[in-house]
Amino acid sequence: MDFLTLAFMQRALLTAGLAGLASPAIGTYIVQRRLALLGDGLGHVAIAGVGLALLTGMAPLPAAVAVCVVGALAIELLRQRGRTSGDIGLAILFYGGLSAGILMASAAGRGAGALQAYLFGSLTTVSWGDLQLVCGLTLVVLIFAVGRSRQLFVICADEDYARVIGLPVRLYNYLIVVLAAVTVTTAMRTVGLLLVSALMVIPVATAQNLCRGFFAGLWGAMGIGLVVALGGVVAAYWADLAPGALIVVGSIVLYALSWPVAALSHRRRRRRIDQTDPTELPHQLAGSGHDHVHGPDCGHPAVEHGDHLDYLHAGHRHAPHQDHYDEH
Amino acid sequence: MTASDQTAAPAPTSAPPSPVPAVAVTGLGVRLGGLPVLRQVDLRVESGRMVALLGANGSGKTTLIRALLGLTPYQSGSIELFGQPQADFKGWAAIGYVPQRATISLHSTTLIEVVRSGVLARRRRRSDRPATRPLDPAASAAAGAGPARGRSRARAFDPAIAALTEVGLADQAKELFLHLSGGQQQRALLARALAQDPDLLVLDEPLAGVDLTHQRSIADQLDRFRRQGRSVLAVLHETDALAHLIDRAVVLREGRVTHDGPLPELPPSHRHEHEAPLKPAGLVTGMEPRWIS
Repeated sequence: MDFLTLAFMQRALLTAGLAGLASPAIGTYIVQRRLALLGDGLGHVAIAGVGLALLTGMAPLPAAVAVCVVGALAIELLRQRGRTSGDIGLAILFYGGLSAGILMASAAGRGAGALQAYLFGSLTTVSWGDLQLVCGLTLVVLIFAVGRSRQLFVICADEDYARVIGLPVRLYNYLIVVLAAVTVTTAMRTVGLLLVSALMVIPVATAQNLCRGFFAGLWGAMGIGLVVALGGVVAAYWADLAPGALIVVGSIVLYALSWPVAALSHRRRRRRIDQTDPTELPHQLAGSGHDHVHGPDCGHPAVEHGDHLDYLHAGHRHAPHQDHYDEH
Repeated sequence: MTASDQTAAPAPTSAPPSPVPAVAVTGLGVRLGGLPVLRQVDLRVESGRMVALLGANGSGKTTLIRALLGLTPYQSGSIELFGQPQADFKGWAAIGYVPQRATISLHSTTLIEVVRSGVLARRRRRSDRPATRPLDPAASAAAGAGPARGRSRARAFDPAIAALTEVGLADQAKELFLHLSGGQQQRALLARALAQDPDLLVLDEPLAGVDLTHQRSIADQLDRFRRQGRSVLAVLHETDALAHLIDRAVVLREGRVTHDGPLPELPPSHRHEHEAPLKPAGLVTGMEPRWIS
């Protein structure tokens, strides 16, 4: 654990941990909106920001944030217009951003090699100034993604319903992509712009395999993101390998492991539904929702339960008892 | 709607109607893709009344509902909700919307999470509730006297569980929404709307795929809802289970209103000759006409 005393490792762990929390948090909404590759596209746009910084001498992180946010707004505008040309527009934006970044880096006399630290991540070169900005921006992303999770869930689940109950759907949609852009740029030092989308998507997919429900999935994805990010940095320190790639490989390994767990859990749940549930439910008056008395000829499937039979009816297990039925 | 229609409509046994209608649509015109879908449509839903919107597939029923909910833009006419022009209306959380088909596509969403969306609207509504209430004090008092209303009860029970219980799905609260049958999903969306504690329910074919037992329980639920002075606008293909609740029926044909009056008096000529029922009329209860295409 002596690596914890090293200043660059402290900065690396903190940066990676923040990226591990924020990327799956905003990634949950991106994935649910079937925009899983948005992070990848935003990563391409952010390269233009890094190129601009190299050309003008600006700090790379703020420049990448600014350019990526503008790109994200353009992407959402194209998506909301819903034209068939939207895909082509997105492709032009993504590859235009990538080529503009390379061109500006070349014009700055640094060559495309200068972009390598941003394309593949360079945790050990994170400065305290970068860390402060990353902390501030990540905090904003987390406050939004967790604090407004109920509203964001409604918008992701049923956009029409969200509009009807008066949620500002368009504003939230813009905020999702803008904060995704912020997350991509703050995570570029951790896993790199080419791999950042993996940290936004794979922990979310893993959590969906392991957790039941949207909100459990949100918290699960953030926990998995944190574990793989910190684990990747520590493993990279010991093995002297690229931390960004290790974080992504670790995410994929966890995803692969989640499959059999999900299959086992699904099988157990099915078995539990087939078997009886000992939970005592309140007695109900016969006739409430019944136009007959359950029996061998009523047509409802019978399930053996202790010393009597339950009848499966409208999702319930009904047991006839005197003038009412019990729910088992 | 004519004055005679209003007097002919059966009145609910409690909660006198507010002079301010929940919905007042006048001369509505909607064009989609350049084609007229609704032409000069008038629709009025009084407080404490249930209005059925009938018509063949493609007659414009869903478009009318979407237009009054602000989901589809309209080109002419006016829409007022609770006495306010739609553009100025702020009390959207007072409107419970049950769409035609389950539009929830999230694989990992549980039933209770879906229904809690309605509770979110209920919470949002507290701040602007006065603007959404009927303006008539007597009607407000009557509506507020319902057993499920009032802030004092808000902490005493979970509105989402209560709504799920009312539609008979409480024991499946933690099931994944997409694992439910079509009829169960429909009931779940009704529970989501009920969890809002709305003043107006807008239902687009709420009985589609719902078994007979639960059709009756939904009818009971809507009856209680209406008796509390609240309003229901329902697109229906089959009126059987809800016929006794319908105060007025509005029939659309090719985007125009061809009838606005009580359901039992609906003349047979309004049924479209080309719309043969899928099953013989009255197959389920043998009582009421079907409007199925």
